[in-house]
Amino acid sequence: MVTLYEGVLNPTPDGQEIENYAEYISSGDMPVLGDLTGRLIEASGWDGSSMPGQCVVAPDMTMLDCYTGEDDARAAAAIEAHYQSAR
Amino acid sequence: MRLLRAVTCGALLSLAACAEPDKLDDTDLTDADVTDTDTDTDTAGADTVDCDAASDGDGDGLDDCTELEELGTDPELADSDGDGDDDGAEVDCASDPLNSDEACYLCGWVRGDPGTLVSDGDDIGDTIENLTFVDQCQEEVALWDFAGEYHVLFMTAAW
Repeated sequence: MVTLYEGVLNPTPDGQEIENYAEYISSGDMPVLGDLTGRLIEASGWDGSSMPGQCVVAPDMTMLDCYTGEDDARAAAAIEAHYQSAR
Repeated sequence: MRLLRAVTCGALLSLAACAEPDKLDDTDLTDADVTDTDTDTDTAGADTVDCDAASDGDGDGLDDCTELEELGTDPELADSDGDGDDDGAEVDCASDPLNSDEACYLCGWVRGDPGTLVSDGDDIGDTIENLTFVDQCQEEVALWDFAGEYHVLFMTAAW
């Protein structure tokens, strides 16, 4: 699971902001990745009006689904569907 | 003499006993005709490099035989590609110990194998391009290094 973060004060976060955010959410072993180019945020279609946005990515780096909100059931459904189709 | 040795070894049915001894300073690794002078027991015969599976000459955590026969790394050099990470550490973090452009991530992320991925767009259903991010160790991370597993990306902008 990867957490992406977009800066508060700037469109793109700097390294210190990313580190601070990882500490804030106690990310542990979970990567907190700053999207410095904003390209993934842009590709996801997430407008930031509601947090978080979620995207599901397959092992072959196919973008399976993106949506606004924290919907683990939807993420699980996307993974299940891809897994079954890949078998 | 070689024929006799082969017959004898066949009778013994022991790979170790059948090994062609090769000399410690053998520099011709492919010539089976090189006469060897030591008494090691390489099971592959004279064509293999001398190594000792119990020895780790450079102290990188990998035994000499693994370095010589499997990885191709230098058993006398802890960091074969000179990227700052010992060969053993690179194997542990799934980095290529022979590629100086690839080292272990500071945060310890294990690299997946993207294979021959080709991006075909940034929309749903596309293979997303290999974007570069910065992680909480303030190091650049390539998205495709997370290939091989499903990921749910949480996107947020503030806290």
